[in-house]
Amino acid sequence: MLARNYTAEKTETPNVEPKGPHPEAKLAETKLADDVGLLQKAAAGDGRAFHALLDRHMDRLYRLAVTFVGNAADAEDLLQETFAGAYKGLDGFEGRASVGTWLTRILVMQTARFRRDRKRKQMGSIEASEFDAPSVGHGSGVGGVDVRIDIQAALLQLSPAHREVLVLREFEQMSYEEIAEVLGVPQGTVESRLYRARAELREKLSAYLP
Amino acid sequence: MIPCPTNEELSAYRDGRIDGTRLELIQRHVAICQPCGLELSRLSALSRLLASALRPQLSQIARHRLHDKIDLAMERGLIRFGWSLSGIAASVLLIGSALLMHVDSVRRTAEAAPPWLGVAASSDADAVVANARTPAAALYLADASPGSSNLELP
Repeated sequence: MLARNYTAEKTETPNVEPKGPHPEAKLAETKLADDVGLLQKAAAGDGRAFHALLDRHMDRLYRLAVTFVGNAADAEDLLQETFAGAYKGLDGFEGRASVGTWLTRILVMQTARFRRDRKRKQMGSIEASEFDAPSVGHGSGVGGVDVRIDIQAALLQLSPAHREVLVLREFEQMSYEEIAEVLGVPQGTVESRLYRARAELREKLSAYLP
Repeated sequence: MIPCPTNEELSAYRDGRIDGTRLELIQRHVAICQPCGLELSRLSALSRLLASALRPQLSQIARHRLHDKIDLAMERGLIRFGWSLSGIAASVLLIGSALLMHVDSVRRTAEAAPPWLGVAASSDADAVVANARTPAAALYLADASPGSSNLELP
């Protein structure tokens, strides 16, 4: 019963309409229909189509990027690298997954690269890692800003693999198949990682949970 | 009643990953098992809590900055493509010119060379071999002249 009711419980990600998209992208968006159409036009050299594609996905990918790296500046860099990578690899889109899934996969790969680069830079440095997650509070601000900050802090304390799988499932409402495609792992791995990530997060956020 | 499913299985059940007979069994089980029902309600509470997490928005300035950077990346790609084309064109021109010059010089040499030039060159070569003082040259000359079996090495 509960499993079936779950879909009703899901909170839909707010579909945020861009308030002021790039003028060229807006023009292209009105003319062109769907993601695949835009992608094909972009691959044929239509820059406006690529900008329209960018407008469609940038908000969602940005939210993901912030959750992955923990700060706005790095997330923006990551987003830029993701779209630059997508532009270079337009011909590589095979249509196996949706364009959204394809872009998310590129973001995940860019995030992994970003982490490696950051780690390498920090190896000889005594500076604290930007990935040193802030500590989670003790539930003093239930229902307020503190809860939200603590959720973000708790997510950053998870391992990247656990964080990614949890965010893709809980925030993006992706299916196991889509998550497996994005992360390049079998669905069984998604299932076990998701279980462990939930268990770990419940422990960290126990102050806010029954 | 079946034994309690593992928490991992309950997590998968909640995500709609269980089907067939197993789904029916778990449904019947969780309807009457208090610990399993509690576990499922905890998973639901976690989902609700995560739904209230911060969802940062990309600022208008950041959006434009991103578009501009992508424009720049596209231009760089085009410039690189242009440079590649220029490089290929220059290479083709260079190789073509070199080939033409080579063909031309061969043709001119063939036209300009007197008929006795080859003969002179050949006799010069024989003289060089005849004057050689090395054992190898002596062997060569001995083999070349018929009937010369008595070989005197220098």
